[in-house]
Amino acid sequence: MFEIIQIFYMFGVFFLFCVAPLNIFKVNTDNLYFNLVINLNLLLFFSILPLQISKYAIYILIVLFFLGIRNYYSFKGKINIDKYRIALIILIFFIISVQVASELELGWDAKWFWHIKSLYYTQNNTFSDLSNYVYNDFHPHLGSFLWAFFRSFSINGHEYTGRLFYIFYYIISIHFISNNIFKDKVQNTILFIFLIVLTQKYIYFSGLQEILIFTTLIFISKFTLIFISKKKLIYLFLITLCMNLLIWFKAEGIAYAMICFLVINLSMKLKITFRIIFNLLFVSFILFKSLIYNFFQIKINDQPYYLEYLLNLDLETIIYKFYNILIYLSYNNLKNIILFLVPIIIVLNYKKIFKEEYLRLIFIFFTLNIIFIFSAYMFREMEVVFALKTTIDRIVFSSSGFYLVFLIIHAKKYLKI
Amino acid sequence: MKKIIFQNKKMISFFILFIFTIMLFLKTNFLKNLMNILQFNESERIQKIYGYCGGESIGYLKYLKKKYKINTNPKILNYEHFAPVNWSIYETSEKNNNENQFIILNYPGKEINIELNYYKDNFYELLDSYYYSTLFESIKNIKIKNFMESNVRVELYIKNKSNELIMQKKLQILKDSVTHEYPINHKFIEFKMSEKRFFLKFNNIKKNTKVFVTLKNKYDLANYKIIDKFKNCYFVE
Repeated sequence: MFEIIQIFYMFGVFFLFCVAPLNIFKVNTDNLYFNLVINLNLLLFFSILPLQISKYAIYILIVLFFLGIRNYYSFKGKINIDKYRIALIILIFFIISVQVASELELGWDAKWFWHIKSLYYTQNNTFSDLSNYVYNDFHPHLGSFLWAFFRSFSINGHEYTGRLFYIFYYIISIHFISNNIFKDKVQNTILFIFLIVLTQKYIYFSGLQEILIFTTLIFISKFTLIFISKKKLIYLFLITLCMNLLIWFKAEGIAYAMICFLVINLSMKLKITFRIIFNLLFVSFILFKSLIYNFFQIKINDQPYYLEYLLNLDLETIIYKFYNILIYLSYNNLKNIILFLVPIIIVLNYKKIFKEEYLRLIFIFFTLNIIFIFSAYMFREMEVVFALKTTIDRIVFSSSGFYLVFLIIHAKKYLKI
Repeated sequence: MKKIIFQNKKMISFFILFIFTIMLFLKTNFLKNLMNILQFNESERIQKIYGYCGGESIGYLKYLKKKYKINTNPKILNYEHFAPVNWSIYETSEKNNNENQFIILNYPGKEINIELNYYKDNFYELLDSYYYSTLFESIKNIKIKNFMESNVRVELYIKNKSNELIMQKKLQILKDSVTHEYPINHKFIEFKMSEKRFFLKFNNIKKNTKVFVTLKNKYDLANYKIIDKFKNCYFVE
């Protein structure tokens, strides 16, 4: 029974990261989502400091709590919090959390390194100590840090409590893209639960980091859509913050961040000042990571990808690799459905590609995404079928987050709901 | 009329919402999982999932850590192929494995027999060969079902990352008249196995004949002091 209560308690802890610094009680309830992205970036900053989690975690929570209270009392107008919506988020969070708490099993890579990296933080080490771990250079640390950070609030210290944050982050992102599609609240709720049913699987919360990439891409996609209609700098800023999270979640994150960077630069109509700010911000985030890695002597992306390897391959092997990637990618796109529907919708709307900014953006993202998936396996010095069998479903899943908003908009149009 | 249509629409919406909610409950096995949490505590659930001594044997590892207050990272050898299990008792303050102590899980004895997987054109694959090469010293014997010849020609291949089968060795092996097996005594260390696939080609056997290999264990328990034992899981030094 205690574990059940603890799930609700953990939700309360996670939710505090949505209530401040921006005021969520104002008319613009999107502040809830903005806060989460901002706070994750702040946590990234804390994760690098030479401080043990136990020294600051509780203070962060207290500060957020009081900022939330201040926000509540400082707003004089009608409080714009939809209790029904919050209750729904809690319900969905509870359902998925019960599954995670019961099934408990970690994914292969989570056992291999993600969990061990989180143990470094749990056992009172800091970022610099991670260098002692032999597989540290494979992937960045942010996902593991969040696992350990939120686990530190757990009353019984159970490992899975840290992973519950991944559920929270995912649910909030799905809610973000489904909360104002229809005028009718019930229809929005149907869409919300439908998307959860469509995309939720236990394996995504088994300590693997793809769910974090998937979720962050959902945020980027939605912020981009809002930016296209409102053209406000804040959304571009939030996109860059999300891109910053991507590069710290997983090695592939840098590829997705670069794709976002190219897509926004190539396909969006931006004011020159906006373009300069966006580019400067992104470059400074990349530089920041390089500096940190340089300082702590961590190799950036120590993965088995070599251009030399590709140049040494004979034509027969290249064709063999290409053929297998094509087969496995097509099969997994069909299974994932999201990546299967995207090219169909693009083809159906091909005449509008040069007119509609969002469609053009999705088209370029999709093209670059497919190029990335192909090159990831072509350049990888590994037996290709084995690599495809063990990883492609996760690569397809993580990138599919970017297209969800696009699919919702077009589904609404085609189904005339 | 308009009101009735509106009410019907509303009813349909609630019905769809209800269906999706039920789908989510079913997809996540909600009731079963809820009962599982209420009936068993976390360590019991871990034991149910990972096994005590069997499979990943996390139950036994946690027991050892608690009983012997293990604050190092002893080398863990699991004779059932799973992801590494050291995460369950990992000590981040210890940089390296404690080479003096071993935890041996699912110990199969000094030797094991494994059936080779038929690949194509008389090629047979030793699946998970890299994993086996970390725990076993050599391929000791080959057993070929319904094969009466007094000798067999065997070629050993490794598949490289470009998907080419590269021959490493060619052997002519005489049958042992007592055991009716073909002693090969081929050491894994002779090849750089890494993550490559390992094949044996038999030139004079019928297609789809069943072939087994006997692997000789690297670790003989007789050479170690047993600190703790449960079934075929051991803590030794």
